[in-house]
Amino acid sequence: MSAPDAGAVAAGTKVAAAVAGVDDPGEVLGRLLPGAVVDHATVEDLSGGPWATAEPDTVALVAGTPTDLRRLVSLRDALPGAKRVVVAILRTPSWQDTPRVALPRGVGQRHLRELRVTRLDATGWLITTRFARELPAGDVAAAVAHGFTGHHLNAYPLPVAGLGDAVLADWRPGDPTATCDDTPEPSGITSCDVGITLPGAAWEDERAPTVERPSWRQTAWDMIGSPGGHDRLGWLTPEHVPPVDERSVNPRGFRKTPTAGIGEIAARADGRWTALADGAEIVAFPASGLVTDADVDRLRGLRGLRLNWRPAHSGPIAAARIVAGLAAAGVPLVASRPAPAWASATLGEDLLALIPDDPADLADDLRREEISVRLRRCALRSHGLTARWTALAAGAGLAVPTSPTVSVVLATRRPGLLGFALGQIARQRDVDLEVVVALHGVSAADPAVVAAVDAFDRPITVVEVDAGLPFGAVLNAALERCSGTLIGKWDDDDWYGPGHLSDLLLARLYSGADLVGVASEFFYLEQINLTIRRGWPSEIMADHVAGGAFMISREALAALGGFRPVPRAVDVDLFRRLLRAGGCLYRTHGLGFVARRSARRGHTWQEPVGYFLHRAKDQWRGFRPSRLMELDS
Amino acid sequence: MIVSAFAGGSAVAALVALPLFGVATWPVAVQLAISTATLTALAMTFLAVRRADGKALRIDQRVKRQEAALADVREQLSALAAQVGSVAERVRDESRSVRAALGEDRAELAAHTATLSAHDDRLAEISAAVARIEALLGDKLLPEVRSRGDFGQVEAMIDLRALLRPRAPLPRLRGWAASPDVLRLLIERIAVTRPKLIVECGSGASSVWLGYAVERYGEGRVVALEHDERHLRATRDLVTAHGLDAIVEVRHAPLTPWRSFPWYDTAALTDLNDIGLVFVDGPPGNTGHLARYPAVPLLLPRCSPSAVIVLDDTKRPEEQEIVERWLREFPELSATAFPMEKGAMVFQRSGL
Repeated sequence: MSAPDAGAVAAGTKVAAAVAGVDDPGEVLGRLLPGAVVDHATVEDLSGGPWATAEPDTVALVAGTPTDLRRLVSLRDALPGAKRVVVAILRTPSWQDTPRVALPRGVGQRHLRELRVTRLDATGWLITTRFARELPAGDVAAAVAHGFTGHHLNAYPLPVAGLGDAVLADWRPGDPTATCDDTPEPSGITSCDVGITLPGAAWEDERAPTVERPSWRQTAWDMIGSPGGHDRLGWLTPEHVPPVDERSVNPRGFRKTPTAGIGEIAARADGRWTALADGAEIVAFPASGLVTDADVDRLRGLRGLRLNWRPAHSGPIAAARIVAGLAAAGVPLVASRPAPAWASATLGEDLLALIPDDPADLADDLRREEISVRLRRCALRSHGLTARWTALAAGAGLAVPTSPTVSVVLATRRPGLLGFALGQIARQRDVDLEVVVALHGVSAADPAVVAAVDAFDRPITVVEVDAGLPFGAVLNAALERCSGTLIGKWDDDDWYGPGHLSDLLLARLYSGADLVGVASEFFYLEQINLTIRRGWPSEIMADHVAGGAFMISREALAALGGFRPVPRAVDVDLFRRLLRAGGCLYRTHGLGFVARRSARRGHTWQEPVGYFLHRAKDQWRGFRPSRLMELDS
Repeated sequence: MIVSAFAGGSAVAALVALPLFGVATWPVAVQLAISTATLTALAMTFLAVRRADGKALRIDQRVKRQEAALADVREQLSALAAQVGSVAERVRDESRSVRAALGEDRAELAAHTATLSAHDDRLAEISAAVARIEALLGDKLLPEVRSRGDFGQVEAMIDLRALLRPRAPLPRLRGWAASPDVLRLLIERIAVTRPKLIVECGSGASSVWLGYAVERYGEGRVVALEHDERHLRATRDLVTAHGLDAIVEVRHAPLTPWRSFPWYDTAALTDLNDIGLVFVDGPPGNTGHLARYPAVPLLLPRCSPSAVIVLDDTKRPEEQEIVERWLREFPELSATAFPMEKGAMVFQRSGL
């Protein structure tokens, strides 16, 4: 690592440094802050007491990766303040945008006097800030971490968490609303809704319920194997595995076409797992089992990763954390069966059942991606932060916000297709939805409409719209009747997998984008009975998604004024306006959507068959959707 | 140095004595003596210093040698300390590895134990289910099975009636009387072996059925031994009613002690020879322990070589003991068990 430009920190400056995810902090800090008098503490040590440097000139936050920086964000209360705050991130994923500092307006941003963002080595970043007055370093960490995601707010719709020890920061990463102080406030209001403490540790505020969670050291194999270690086996449950930081470790950056073969997880001499490709180490996982976004990025080129269950990293919880993290990121995994007992106990049988035991299953790109999607779905829903804390809060008797409701907007002028479309909406899983059907020049009394609506067993609203109105206006008419938090657009003649909407919800959860949609990959060309797959990259921030398969918040759509009242290209226009307005789009996988292209007039897409054939990456005779569509024919 | 001092002292004394001999004046002699004494003192000092220096040199050399030895020891010690530290580190690592391996095994074992416990629970559930099934069998299905046994008896009775066609009503069988299935066994034997003399220990409806069988298949006779007079009369009446007086003789034989067993009076046996079939269905069990045991000791000598002895009620423990004794005491006998309602055992002499 080369030293940053002179002037970042002057020689002799008193620096308090908090470090996360760095193997050799002394060496890194020496290179990063030459000449400075540095007092540093790692995440695990931050609860150790007051800083040796009482009034530092500068606070340095050094994180190995953006994922590590998010661990520091949760420890805002334990970090000192200063007029100068330096944030260094040593490695970032290849897809990571340039960092920005999104401080709260009027509070932090108002006092910002100097901001420098410079490259640190090949993929790192150094952010140097100077303020007019002292600012908590945690606020700067939160601002930088916030800039790495698409989320408008740097918080979770979950109960406020109190961390009993800094080592428990992994339980609520990236959340600046988390507290680190269990002292009862004189106001009578508890500092948190639920506290998380180390087993047997004291928690002063008795009004807030607490749950005990061990650190990775307490669940290390040698602790379990020591006298009395049998009692620690009771911790081997999914609920005791630290959650996957889904806003950082997620499918983003997935590569459909890998460049390398199947890698392997092997144990080093110290027992830690390491990922090898052709015998060379790509990623050495830390003893805590934390998987970072940069680690995942390094594994993206692999076709898959074979797990060797024994020996199992530093401990069962840490090992489970690695597997859950990799699965949540959609890294295709292969493992022998049966899995050891600790894996079943900590990961759950559902997730293990999705890990194939034959590497040949990953040989085909499409099958490989299907396995990846199934893994990420299961891991995010069972080991993601939102899922874990929802369960944890429910266990503590706390009310948890319900998942957002989706209003599916379906505009059609072909009553004969309404039953087909509603049938596909009816089989959507893991989503609370309503349907608003806009009949474009069709009567609601049409027998086909009546039959389709009667057969639909979820909330449905039917709107009749004049045939003369343009398509955008038809959609807007439907939007006026929507009551859901989110709007999902649906085409009447396309095929959707049963996990389509729930996959969009997941993508929205981890990307934070204003609009999430699927990649337009699969097309069925009805004229020539051919299915093609285009090679659109997915799991990226993009400028467009499939027009018939996206989801946007009702609030954002309203802010954009809804759809433009134009006859066609309403979706592309919406995407353009959203981007120009400062929003972002995220394109998730396209395996749960097949667009139908038939020889007919009036479709919003008018491209001839040749257009698709020239752009096809794969093509199959007949109707050949992915297995995630769960269609027999 | 002592020699020098002595020489010096002698020289001084000689010099001091020079004026006495007039060789020198006193001042000169004294001056010479002082000079000589001074030189002697200097010489002695020089010698003393030289001696001390030699000692110091030797001590220095010794110290250096010891220092070198100490340095060697120090080096060895530090090498040893490094070695011990390295070994300790290795032991720590290996201990950690061993404990880690133990931890993995412990987790696996605990899971297997939990699985076994679950299996135990499942086994307990299955046992409970089996108990419930057994109870159900006892309450509902066994009566049905029993009724199926009844069916077997009815079937045997139908066979008997079809074969022998009794001429008058007969008292019901089973209970104290012989069961139809045993009677069918006896009648099958009669049909095959056509015995000339049949002896029945005890009498009743079976006597009539045996009489009918002899009438149908043979030309012999039936002698039924009966100790109870009331029963004797009833059976005789029954025999008469069926017109079998010529074939069936119900002979009164009160129970008299034979050895320690109360059995039919042996006087009633005197004319019974060349017996072809013995049906042991009396005396009743309540007349004494192993009440039917004497049948073989007393009747076997009176049987033909091919005679068949049928013992009824062999499901009862007492009859089973009788069987064991007969087989033990009469090795020439072999036995075949028949799964009749109350159990029956057929004895024959071996080799036949």
